[in-house]
Amino acid sequence: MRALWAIANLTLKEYARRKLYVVTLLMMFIVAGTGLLANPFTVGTQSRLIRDLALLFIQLFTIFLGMALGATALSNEIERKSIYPFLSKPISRGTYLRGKCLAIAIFLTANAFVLGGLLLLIVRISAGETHWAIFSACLLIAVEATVVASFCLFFSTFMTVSVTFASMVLVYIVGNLSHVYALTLTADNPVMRVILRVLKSIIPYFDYFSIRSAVTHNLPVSPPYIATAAGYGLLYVTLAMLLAEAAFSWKDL
Amino acid sequence: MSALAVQTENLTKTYKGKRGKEIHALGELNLEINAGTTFGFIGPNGAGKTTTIKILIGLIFPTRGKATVFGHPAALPVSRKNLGYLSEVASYSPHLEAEELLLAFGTLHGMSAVDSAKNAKELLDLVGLLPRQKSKLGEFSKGMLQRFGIAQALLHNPKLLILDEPTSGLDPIAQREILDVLTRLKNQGITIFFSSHRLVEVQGLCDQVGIVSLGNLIFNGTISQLEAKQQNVPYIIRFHLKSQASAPRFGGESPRQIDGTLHEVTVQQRNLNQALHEIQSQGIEITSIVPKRLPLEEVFIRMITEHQKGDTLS
Repeated sequence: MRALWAIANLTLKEYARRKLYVVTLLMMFIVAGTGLLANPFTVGTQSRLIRDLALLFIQLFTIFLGMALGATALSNEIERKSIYPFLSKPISRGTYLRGKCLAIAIFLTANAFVLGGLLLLIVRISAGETHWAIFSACLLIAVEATVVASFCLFFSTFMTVSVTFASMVLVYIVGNLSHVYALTLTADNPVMRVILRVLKSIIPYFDYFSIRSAVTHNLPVSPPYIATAAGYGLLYVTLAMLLAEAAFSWKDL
Repeated sequence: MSALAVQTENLTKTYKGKRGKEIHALGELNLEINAGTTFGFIGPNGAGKTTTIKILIGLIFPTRGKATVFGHPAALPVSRKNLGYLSEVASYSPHLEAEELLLAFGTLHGMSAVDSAKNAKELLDLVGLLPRQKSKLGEFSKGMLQRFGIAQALLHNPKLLILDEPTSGLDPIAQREILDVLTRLKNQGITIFFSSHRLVEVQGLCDQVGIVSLGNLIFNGTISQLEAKQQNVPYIIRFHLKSQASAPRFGGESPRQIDGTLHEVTVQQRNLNQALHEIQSQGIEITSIVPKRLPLEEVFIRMITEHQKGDTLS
C-alpha cells in the first residue's frame, strides 16, 4: 500500500509541476463564461442554462483529460525509459500501474470538484440559488473520466498513444449510444444482435454516469443511484486495470 | 541467501524482427557469479550485454532458459530486494527533485522514512550531489544524472549492484569518479556486475570477466586467465642513438626518429628478447619498452574478431 501511494504521490507531483492545473484554470474561465452567456435570460432559465452548459463543459473537459493522462501515463515513461528505475525495485508491475491509475483518479476528481465549486459559486452569485447536486454530478463525471483513463491505460499496454486515443474515442462514442442497447433487442440480423450484445456487455454504459439533465432541471437524484453508478464505474476501472496488469506483466520493455 | 549472486542457465532471447524474421539477441548463456565478486561483462555494441542485464532485472523475459538472482527467478519482484540497478542512460522525470525521488525509491524498497532520508543524504554526499538535493532532475547534467543513478541504486544497501555501461558517454573526469565509487563499493564486499565495451575499465576493477559476442559467451574467467591468452603483442622499444649510422636494423626495419637522439622501433613479442640483446650489445641506452596496445585489449579484439568471423563463415 505504501509503494502504491509512493508512485501515486510522485505522479501527482509531476502533474502539478508540469503545470497541468493551468488547463484547469483555463477551463474555469470557460465555466465562468457560461454565466455571461446566460445573462440575457430570466433568472430561472439563466440558472438552468448555466448549470447545463457548464456541466457539459466540465464533463467533456474531464473526459478528455482522462483520455490524455491515461493514454500517456505508461507510454511516456516507457519511451523515456524513466520506468526502469521503478521496475528495478521489488514491486510488481501491477503496483506501478495501480499507482499511476490512483494518481489519475485523484487528479481528475480534484479537477472536477474545483470546476464544480466554481459553478456552484457562479450559480449562487447570478441566481441566488445553491445547488449542492452539482457536486454529485461532478463526482460521477470524475468516475466516468477515471473509467476512460483506466481503459486508456489498458490500451496503452499494447497500442501506441495515437491508436489508444482513437480506440478510446470509439469506445466512448459506442458507450454513449443508448440506442445500441435498444438495437440488441430489435436488430434483425442475428450476427449483428450477437455483436451488439457483446459490445453491450463489454463496453461501459457511459450514459449511466450523466445526471446533468436531472441537476439542470432540479430533479432529485437519489444517493443510492449515485452510489450504484460510482460502484459500476469502479467495477469497470478494476476490470480495465486487471486486463492492463495481465497485458503489462509479460511485456518486454 | 544463495552463495551465487547471479546464475543463468541456457538463457536465450529471440526477438521477432521485420517480416517475422527471428533475431537472436542471446544464445544459451550460462553464467555463475559468486557473491562478493566484481564481474565485468564486456563485448561490442549489440553483443547481448544489455539484453542479459534486462532479463536479470525483470525488464524483459527470456525465450528459453532461466535466470536467478540470489536463487530467486529474475522475473519475480523478490529477486530485486537486494539488487541495485543503473541503466546505461539514466532517465528520470525532469520535474522531480533528487531527494524526493530517492525517498520514494526508499519506500518502494520497504524502507522506513527515517532510514530513507538518512541513506539519501549520505549517498547524495558520496556522489557529490548533496548541495543539489532539492534541485529538479531536469536541471542535472548527464554526469550528474549518472551519479544520481548510483545513489538510487545504492539506497537500500544492496548486496548486488548491476550497472549497464555506467561510464558510457561521460567525460574522463566523470568516468574516473564513477570508477572510484565502484572501487570503494568493491572494497565493501558488494557484488558488482557491470557491463562495458571498454576493457581498460574492467581490467582495473574486476575479479571475473565475461566476454560476449553475438549473444554468446566466448570467455568466462579471471583477468589472469584472460591475460594468459595473449600472444604476439607488438612492443615499442625507445632508445637514444648517437648517430643514425650506428642504428641496429630489425628485420630490415630502421628505427624511427622521435625527437633528437630519441628513436623507436616496433618488434613482435616473439622477437623481443633478440631485439633487446641486439640493442644492448651495441651499448645503446634503452629508455622504455611498452606494448603497442594494451595486451588485454588485443586479446579481446582478437577473440571478438575470430568469433564473429567464425559465425559469418558458419
